[in-house]
Amino acid sequence: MIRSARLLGLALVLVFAGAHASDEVAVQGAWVREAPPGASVMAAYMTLVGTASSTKTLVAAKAAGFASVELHETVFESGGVAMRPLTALAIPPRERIVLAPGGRHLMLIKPQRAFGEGSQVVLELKFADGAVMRLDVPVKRALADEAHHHH
Amino acid sequence: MNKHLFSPTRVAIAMIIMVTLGFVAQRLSKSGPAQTELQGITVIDPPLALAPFSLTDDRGAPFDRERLRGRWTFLFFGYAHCADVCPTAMTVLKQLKPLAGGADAGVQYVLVSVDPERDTPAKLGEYVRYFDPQFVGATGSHADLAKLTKPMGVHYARSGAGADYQVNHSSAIFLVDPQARLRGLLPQPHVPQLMAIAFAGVKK
Repeated sequence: MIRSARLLGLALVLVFAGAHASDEVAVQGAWVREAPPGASVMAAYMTLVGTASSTKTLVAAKAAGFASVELHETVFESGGVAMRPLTALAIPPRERIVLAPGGRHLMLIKPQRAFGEGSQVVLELKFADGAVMRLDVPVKRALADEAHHHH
Repeated sequence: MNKHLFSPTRVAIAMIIMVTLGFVAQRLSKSGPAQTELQGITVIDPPLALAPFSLTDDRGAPFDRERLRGRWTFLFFGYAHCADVCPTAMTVLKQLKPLAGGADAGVQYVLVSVDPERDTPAKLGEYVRYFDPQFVGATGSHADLAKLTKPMGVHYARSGAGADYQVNHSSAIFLVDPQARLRGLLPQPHVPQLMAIAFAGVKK
């Protein structure tokens, strides 16, 4: 009887803990697209979810095994596409900022080894306030439903 | 219950009325513009005959107008150093292929590289065959590329400095018929299922 009361109490605490949004940006669905052999760039996609109350601004990124990482946005201009580098990406409180094929993406430049499907890329995201997030992002060949991930 | 309410005669008359209304409604909904309003494609009507051009494929063989005769072709203009749009488009073409008849359908999928300085035939071959062993790559000098790109309304331009430049380029997928005529332009966003339906509509 006491044991189940404790379990119930623990469960309630966990439920309420989850109900409060975090002070950290949450990253969902991160993946790196596997590239053809000899490719000099790979793209990383993910959804960034804002914190409870403050805007976080992504200002830089690094990836182990790559020379550099840049944030880009694919934009459509008079029938063609151009890639525009972004120096910062603001993530307002509770908003979902989507990096997806055909839109914003992290460009991972000059892989120093092969990153095949099933491997992981250790990605570091740096924010304006000094916070750093480290992620293990899986490399995948393609999402089944690419078109619906348009930003 | 009044057995005459649902007498066979009344039921028959009601059914005739419903079928007629359904038929009329269907005809009315088809009375708008039909063929050129297929979803996901801008139909080129009348078809645009392509002028002669001379490129090289990824195996070093000539890729000219004759390579477009006798089969349907999906053409995309891109380059291998492209992080986002080109791998996405090539993946879409890969997903389209089984919906467009598969390997034996006599449909070819071609990437024309607008970055001949970096995309040698060997690199191009490696790139396209990563997506599908039947995919074809082709490129040439900018002057040779212009003979194909200009009439098709395809634009491209280098962007950024140094060895890691990007190339801005048209992102549509182009559909060419077995008489080497441009039949359609499939703009972003590319949804394989809709592209297959559009393809079937154009072929009719």
